[in-house]
Amino acid sequence: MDIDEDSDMNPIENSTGLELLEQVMAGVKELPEIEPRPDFTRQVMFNIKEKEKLGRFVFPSLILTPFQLIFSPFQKLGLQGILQGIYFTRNREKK
Amino acid sequence: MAEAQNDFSDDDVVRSVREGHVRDFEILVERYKRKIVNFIHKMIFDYDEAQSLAQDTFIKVYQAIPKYNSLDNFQSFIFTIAQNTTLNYIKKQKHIQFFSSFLSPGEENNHFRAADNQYELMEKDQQDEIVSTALKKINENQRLALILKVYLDFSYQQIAEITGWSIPKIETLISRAKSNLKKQVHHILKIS
Repeated sequence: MDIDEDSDMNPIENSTGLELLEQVMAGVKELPEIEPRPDFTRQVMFNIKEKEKLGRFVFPSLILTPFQLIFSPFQKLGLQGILQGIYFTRNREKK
Repeated sequence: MAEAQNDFSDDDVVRSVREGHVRDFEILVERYKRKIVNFIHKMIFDYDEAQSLAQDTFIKVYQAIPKYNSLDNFQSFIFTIAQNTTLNYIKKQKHIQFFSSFLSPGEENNHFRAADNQYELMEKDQQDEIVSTALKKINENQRLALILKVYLDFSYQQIAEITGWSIPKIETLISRAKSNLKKQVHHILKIS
């Protein structure tokens, strides 16, 4: 339905209250549909297959166990070194 | 199974996918793609993003199939994922708009302006444009409730299953959505 700004026949502009609400709701209900892209399904299936491949071949090597998550940063930094550092700093402050 | 897809219920297809027949997932994509693309499009009014978010939705649905309980409704399951994907996108867009408003003041709603152009190319009807412009301006939860109820014609019970909201909350959101939508349409007509 075209809306002519200058016309008195504009159905939305000339209605008030409930009438306008009904027209707007009808407008919402009849909003034009869009079509999924022609290759939509193919794309989804392609992406799923790609994710499947990633899941099988890459993820297992990246997954860290809770033990690795907790201890590997300490191993890298050298837990012993950190503890020694704290010990010497405290001792120095006491002196 | 893919050849005789209409003979199988959603749950039959889900069972087959779980048993390792990945290709059968195509049946579910074919069955729901139109509804999902249109639902997302009516939430964001951007053709390209709606297609892309709908694709993401189906990938998430596939990944979530092990968690799907056959006692639930598959349609509600898929719409819940579509709803979460769309609301996350809207949230991100709000952040982008917030920060870009600092960088270039006076250029608000760029995203929607771009979407408007696309929408115009697809559909010239001015009344649809007014309704969609007004819809974009109301709160996203109100918009979600209204689209599910009025555009997709879902029952309050179905909306509750999809959104996790109580029925009184849905009723309130729809009532506010209607009132705000009417105000927005009035406003647009005044300034045009």
